[in-house]
Amino acid sequence: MTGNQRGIWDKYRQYIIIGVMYLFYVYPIVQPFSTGIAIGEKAQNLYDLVESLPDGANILMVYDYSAMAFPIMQGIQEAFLEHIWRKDGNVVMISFSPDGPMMYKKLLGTYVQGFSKKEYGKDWVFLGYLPGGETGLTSFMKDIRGTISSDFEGDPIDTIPIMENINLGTDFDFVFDFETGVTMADGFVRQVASVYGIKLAFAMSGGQMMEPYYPDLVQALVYPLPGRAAEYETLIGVPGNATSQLAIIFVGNLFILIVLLGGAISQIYKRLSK
Amino acid sequence: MSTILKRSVPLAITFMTVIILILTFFFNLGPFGETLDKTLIAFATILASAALGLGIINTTKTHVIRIAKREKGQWIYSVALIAALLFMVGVGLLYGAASYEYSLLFDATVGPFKATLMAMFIVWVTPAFVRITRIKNINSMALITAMFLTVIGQSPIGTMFGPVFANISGWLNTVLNMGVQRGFKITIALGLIVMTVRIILGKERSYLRKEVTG
Repeated sequence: MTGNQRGIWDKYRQYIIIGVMYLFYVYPIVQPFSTGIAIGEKAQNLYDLVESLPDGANILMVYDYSAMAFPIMQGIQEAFLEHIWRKDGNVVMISFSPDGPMMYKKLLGTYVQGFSKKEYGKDWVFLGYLPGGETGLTSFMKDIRGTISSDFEGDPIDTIPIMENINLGTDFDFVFDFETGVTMADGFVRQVASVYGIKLAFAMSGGQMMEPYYPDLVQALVYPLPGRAAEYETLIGVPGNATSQLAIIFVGNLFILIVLLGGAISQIYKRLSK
Repeated sequence: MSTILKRSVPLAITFMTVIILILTFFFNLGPFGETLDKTLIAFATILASAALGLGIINTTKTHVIRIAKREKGQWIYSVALIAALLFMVGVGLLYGAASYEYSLLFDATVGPFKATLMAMFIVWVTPAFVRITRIKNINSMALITAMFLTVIGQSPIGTMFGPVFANISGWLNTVLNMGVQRGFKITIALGLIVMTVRIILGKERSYLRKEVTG
């Protein structure tokens, strides 16, 4: 077929693919529908892990993702806070990513129903951004007060009630890191799980790379995007943001499957017709 | 200062720092060792903070030079970058990073920009993804089959067919993927050990200036 005789598909392939993709993603917005939620092993593990924590446990919650990942992380974070605060957990929040403080502020604005029932300084505290990556984490775990002297608002740590009995990394019962990619994940395994033996969980989109550590060094590993966050919301009985995204995840995955099948069928057809 | 001194002093500092950190990790050297360990790690955290500042200075310098030279098609974007940088830094210094004003600016600019970038990335990648998912040989067939089974097993679509696809996807993840990831991680760890030994012995001197590495 010459250049002048290229078909519509060859000429406008890119636009057709993008157009079809838009139609797929717009459909659940225009015509919402619900999909079934089957609880998977990983979401169940996270639920059981949090349930096994004692009431009043000290939790380190880490914001290690950038602004573009907030829609992915919002659901699982809200569900986790809902779950842990049912057990009166003391949540110390920190970030090793520069965007972390803004993600905390964003969550503060979106999860009003959760934060409004709790008191800052007694039920949660945010210590701000700590630079240095794994080195910063190491320093923090060895000596919290030697590394950070005040919280994000500028109040000295010694004046914050929740920090009264938290001086070292070993004072935490559980560490939950929310991140995209694996920037800090290996660092947490090295500096938290293997050194101190603290229970560790990740909610991350690149979680497949942490599978070797699961379930020994990493007790829970959740991939928020394919629906694990929605499963966790179902387990705690509070369908939220992640459940509402399931329809879009459904059509997105359907689109990928159709592309894969379509590509395979077209190649087989071409070979058979030769 | 002679070149030998310029080379020897940094190498000696590197050697001592690494040895101290290794010894304090594996052996209990008492309160002195603990203090030394914490101090060295705190130094590294402080240096990381300084590196952030250095990054800003470097970025500013690069773009100011571009503006001064009026580089065609580039300098106007550099003006926008410098203006945005100075504005955000100014707001942060004036009101604080924890302030409502700073959050408002971030939510109005950085958040939507990054989300837009992500969305644009998907739009560009999707046609390329369609092009590569063609069965050309046995390897591509295996790849596409694995992709298909993983997507259907991990997604809500798979639940419509019962646990079959979830089990297959789980097997691919926990057996095949895990084996490969373990291989990667062991290889990377061995590489890191070799690099550390080279740094200790002074063979790895890329952090020194070219004229002193010898």
